[in-house]
Amino acid sequence: MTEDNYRPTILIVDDEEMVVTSLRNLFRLQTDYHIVTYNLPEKALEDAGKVMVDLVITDYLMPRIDGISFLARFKEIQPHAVRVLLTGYADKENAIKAINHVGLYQYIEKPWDNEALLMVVKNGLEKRGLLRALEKKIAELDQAHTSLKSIQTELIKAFM
Amino acid sequence: MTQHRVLVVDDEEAARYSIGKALEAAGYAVEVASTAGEALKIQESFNPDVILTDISMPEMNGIQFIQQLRARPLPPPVIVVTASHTYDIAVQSLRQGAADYLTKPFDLEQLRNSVRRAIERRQLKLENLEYQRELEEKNRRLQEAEEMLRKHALELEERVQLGTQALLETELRYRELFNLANDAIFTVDAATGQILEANLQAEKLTGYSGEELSNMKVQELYSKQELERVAKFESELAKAGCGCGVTGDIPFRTRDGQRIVLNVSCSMIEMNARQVINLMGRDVTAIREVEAELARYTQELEQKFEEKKKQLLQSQSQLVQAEKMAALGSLVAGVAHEINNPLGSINANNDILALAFRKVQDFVRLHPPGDGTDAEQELDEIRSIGKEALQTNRMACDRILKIVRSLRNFARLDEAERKKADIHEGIESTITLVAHEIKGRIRVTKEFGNVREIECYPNQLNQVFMNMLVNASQAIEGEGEIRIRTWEQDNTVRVAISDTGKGIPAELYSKIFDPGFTTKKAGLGTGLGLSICLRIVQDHGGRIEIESQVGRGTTFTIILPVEGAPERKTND
Repeated sequence: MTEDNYRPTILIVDDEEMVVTSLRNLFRLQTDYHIVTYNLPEKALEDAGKVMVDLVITDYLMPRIDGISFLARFKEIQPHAVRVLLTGYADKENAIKAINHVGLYQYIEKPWDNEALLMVVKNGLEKRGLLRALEKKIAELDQAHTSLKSIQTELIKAFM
Repeated sequence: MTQHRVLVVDDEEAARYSIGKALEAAGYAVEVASTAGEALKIQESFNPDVILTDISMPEMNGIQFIQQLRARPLPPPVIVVTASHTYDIAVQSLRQGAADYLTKPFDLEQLRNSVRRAIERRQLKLENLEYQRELEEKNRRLQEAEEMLRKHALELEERVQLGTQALLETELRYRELFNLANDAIFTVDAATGQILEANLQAEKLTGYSGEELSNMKVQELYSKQELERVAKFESELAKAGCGCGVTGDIPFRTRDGQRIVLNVSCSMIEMNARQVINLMGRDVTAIREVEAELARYTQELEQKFEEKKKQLLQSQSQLVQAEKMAALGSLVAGVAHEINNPLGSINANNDILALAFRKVQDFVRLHPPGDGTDAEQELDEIRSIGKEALQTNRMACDRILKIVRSLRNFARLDEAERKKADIHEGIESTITLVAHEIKGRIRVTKEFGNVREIECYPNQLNQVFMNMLVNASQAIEGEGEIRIRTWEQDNTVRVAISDTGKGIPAELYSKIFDPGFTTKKAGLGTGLGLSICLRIVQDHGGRIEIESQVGRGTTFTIILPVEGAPERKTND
């Protein structure tokens, strides 16, 4: 339940160019998401503050920074982004262990199934959308509460 | 014949002369003296065998002369010649020791006979004296001998006395020992087997009293069920003969029917013209039982040992197999992981291309050529996506091809035979296959020298490289470097694999090649990797050197002879 005309942003990080290209094209053809891709996780972290990301997909096994560490650090910068880990079978155990650590939404095994991946991303974005709506409502309520409070103050002042 | 000497004493010259002449004529040596004094002097030097003397002479008469002579040693016989025919003088002279007397006038025959008789008597007397002396000498010697004998006898007696005492003591001691001995001792008549003597221990062991034993034959004591053993022993004893000892076990039967085994030493001796067997037996029943038990136990143990050995060999080969499987597992995981990316990409691109194709179809249907719609931009995007998908797919296929080639290179399933091979190929393939272990955290640098191809089993060496690389990567916690250098030296090709890992303490150098030794966490290693590596390298006639610094890293250097090991079939 995304808002009308809202175009979610997806961040894809994988050191394998062919994976990045394939995923980007898949989303380009199947969705209208805004796709940002990186081959180097450190570069992605460097730029993390520039674009608001709704969902991040990262490979697990990458040079210097593995997917879990990357997600942990990205979470500090953009805590609301939904985190998805793309992992080879050999790393599954490590990945599962790290789910709680980084608050992983889902992990997907390589080689991935395109439909399943799209579904995971769609659901993740929906969750993100709901959260965003909730935040918005809370903000509205806060606002209403604040204005009510000021009205109350005004009223009390008037009656005093 | 010796000439006898005669001394004639007479104060009358005529008498001296006539007698002298007559005697000389008879063959005698004659000296004359006119007085008794002169005669005594001559007697000393002349030593006559007989003296003829006148009685009535001046100064000293014949009787006095005889008396004087007799005082001398061995006086010669004296014949008195007298003119005075008186009985008194004759008796007196004979009493004084004269041998004979002649009364003047006498004929020559009388004279010669008298002289001859006197000489004969003297001769006899002298001989007698000689005999007597000899007799005395012999007697003396006899006495000496007797004395010696007596002494000797005394000594002997003493000795016998001492000997008897010693014998008594010996006998006593022997008796004491005989009965004190912890072994049964029998003396047996060899011909009949009759027991002549048995000691206390013999009584104790057999249960029979000494009296009973003395009425028994030794064969009655043997266990009836095992007589052939006894017979064998007896024949051995007979073969050994007198004076030689024979030892062996003989089963006995006690008075109450119990079977006991005595370890018997016996020898045959000849005593009082009959053959006697001395038999000494030690009770070894318990010992033999224990020994038999021990032998059984030993056999059992050996059997168990063999079984265990078999099991061990089996489990060893199972372990080697397990290590192979572990290596294979690691390999498969690596390969799977490496294939995941290109496979995922190809899969995605298939969908992408299908979609792109469908979009192009839709586009063509919606906008037939020449309808004037400016849709180039959308079409361009689809075209570029399709192009990228195709490019990516080619890359992905290349990647998979490379992996499969590495895999084939590694396994060399088509090249399990010994051949000349370039180790660099094997090392490169191995690096590709362990990429997932090192990717991301470990930098691999290669310093490959110019080395010849070596005679080897390439697939086996690849297993070594893989093991070394995996070990090196596991030794590095976090980031690090693995350096692989190759060079040729002394007709060997050397591969040094260095890591910047945690290092190996020197005291473990000797252990790391032991089968089963591992410092890895449970499940990570079988502990067989290095031992198998070492075996493979040794099978190639090579060796592995290790150099390590704790906290700095380790270098394993694999040294392989260029011409390989002398050809032979390996077990696996």
